[in-house]
Amino acid sequence: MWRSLLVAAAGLLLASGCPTTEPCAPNSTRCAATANAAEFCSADGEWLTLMDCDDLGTPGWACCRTADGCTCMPVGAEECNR
Amino acid sequence: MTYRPPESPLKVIRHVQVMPFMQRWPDPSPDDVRELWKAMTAKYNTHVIDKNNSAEMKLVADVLDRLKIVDKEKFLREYVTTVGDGIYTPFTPGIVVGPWDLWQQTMVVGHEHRHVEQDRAKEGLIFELEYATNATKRAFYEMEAYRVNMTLAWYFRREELSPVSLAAMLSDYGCSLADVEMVAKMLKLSLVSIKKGAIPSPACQFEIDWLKARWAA
Repeated sequence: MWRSLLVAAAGLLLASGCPTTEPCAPNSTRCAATANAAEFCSADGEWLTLMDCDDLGTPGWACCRTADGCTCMPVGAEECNR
Repeated sequence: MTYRPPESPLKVIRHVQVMPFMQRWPDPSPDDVRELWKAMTAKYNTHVIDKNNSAEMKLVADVLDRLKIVDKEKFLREYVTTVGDGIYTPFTPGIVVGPWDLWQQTMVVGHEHRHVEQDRAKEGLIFELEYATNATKRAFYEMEAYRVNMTLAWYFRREELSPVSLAAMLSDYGCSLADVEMVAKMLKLSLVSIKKGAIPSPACQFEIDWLKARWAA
């Protein structure tokens, strides 16, 4: 009984010592670091996948920054990198 | 998981782009709509249920009415609702009734099957719980489904559905102004990709392929 309580308390201390993920700025966008996808920061400050550029019906899409923010565009689109 | 057509569809259409060499697609016939619904429900193993004869939907309508979220009659008559594999419709596919013209019926079948995909991508009742209890998640799920409407409108009619007008419909869904603004911006960015040819959901891809094959035959 006491042993499991101690283990639970230690777990809680360890967990609370972990750094929490910094919330993102709502409505900001970015290209995902580890996937070919555009991400959008939700009203809750959490990154959501706006669009998976590898799953758009045809190949040849990449995440890029446009004048309006990051989204999927055909590779080489002139709207990218503004 | 629920959708109704806008009060005035013209308010949602921001712009119609006429392209000189654009392929012209026909308006869907009653038969097209009936067969499309049959094909999509067979593909996804879903089923259409008459909303007005559904005891569970009448119960939901009562609850929403009492919470003053949406009028009971309006919910039963104007909204399509998907729960699990059941799609509750206030119309029989292919028969025009109220705000549900044939084009709205064509768009909503893709919209609701996006919700089916969202549900199946999550374990157990996680999708239903998130949709019911988290307004921001609900807004995000609806955004993905509105994107199906946007894609179909652009693909077959070269119509731009207004991101702001679509997002504003979420105020009927208990979403905050911040959620509505979030969805408007997400749809605006999505429209940039859609106009370049992106088809951002398998349900939408299936529907486009099916309609193209039918109309090419």
